[in-house]
Amino acid sequence: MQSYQDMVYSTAMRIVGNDAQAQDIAQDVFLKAFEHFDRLRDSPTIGGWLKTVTTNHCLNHLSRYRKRWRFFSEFQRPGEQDDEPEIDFAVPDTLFDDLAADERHDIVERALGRLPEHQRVALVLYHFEELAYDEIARTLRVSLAKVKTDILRGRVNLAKYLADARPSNEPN
Amino acid sequence: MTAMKLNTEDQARLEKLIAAGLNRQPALKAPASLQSRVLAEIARRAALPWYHRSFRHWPMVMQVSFVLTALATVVLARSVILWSHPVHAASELAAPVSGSFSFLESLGSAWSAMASMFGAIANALLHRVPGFWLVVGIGVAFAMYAMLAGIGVAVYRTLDGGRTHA
Repeated sequence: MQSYQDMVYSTAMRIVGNDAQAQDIAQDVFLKAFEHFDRLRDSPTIGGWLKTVTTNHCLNHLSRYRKRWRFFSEFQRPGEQDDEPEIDFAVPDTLFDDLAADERHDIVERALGRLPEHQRVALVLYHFEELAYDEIARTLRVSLAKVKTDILRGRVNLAKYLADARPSNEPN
Repeated sequence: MTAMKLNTEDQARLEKLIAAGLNRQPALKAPASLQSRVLAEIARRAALPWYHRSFRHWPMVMQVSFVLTALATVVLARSVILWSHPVHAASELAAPVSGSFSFLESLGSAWSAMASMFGAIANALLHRVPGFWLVVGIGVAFAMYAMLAGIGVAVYRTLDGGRTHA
């Protein structure tokens, strides 16, 4: 368990964005692994199994929450169109280089946590879980265009948060 | 660096920058309490008596005993019914009982029975309640539904709006 607990917890934390829920999910994942201990004990793919189960568990958790609000969520807000996003943003030359390594990890995690759920989940599935756009769309049961828009907006917002966190932008 | 609309080239550059940064991101440290939580939960579940666990986790002896006991109860109940009634009455008793079971087994029959029951209720309402009051009742129900939906949307947008607008 010690070898995998950071990986399981990280995956859960980055997807659900809540420490208590991430701990509950990590606990459930390890309890499930314990139930299948005989099969997993000597399996070389245990890491992949744990990661897949954690991701699915997180998505189930989020979809259960989302179902409660689905009726209201489907009212589209102004400016939430799925296609042709028009984003005013100047891409900087560097994003992470100005940040000290020890600070960078915390700042990036905090910035991820500040993203809206739909952007964070899509971004994490793309960059950390290495799923393709169409896989993410299928997994989240949303359109491909929405996934692309959410990921693009997520990247822009992440870049903005990171730019704000740069030492030159900190108040004196 | 001035703000500008993101073209395809900028989007690709941004993706590369973000990917490079996130790929270097180490795993988060799991809380020290996680392992002890998991072990405590395993111990708690292990300490539960077998009858508090799901049927799948019952001892094999108990699973078999349960199935046999359930079957024996059915047979015994049937025997008691047959014993407590005269033989000639048994067939009279069996007919409605078997009729009831076949009704339960057939989902279609159950559905048609439900439909006819609600039909009868609706029919009785239509004949006993004046049409005017029926229309008023439906109107009030619809207005209440719309009002609750409106309150729900307002609450959702108030509570969730700050988080979803980035």
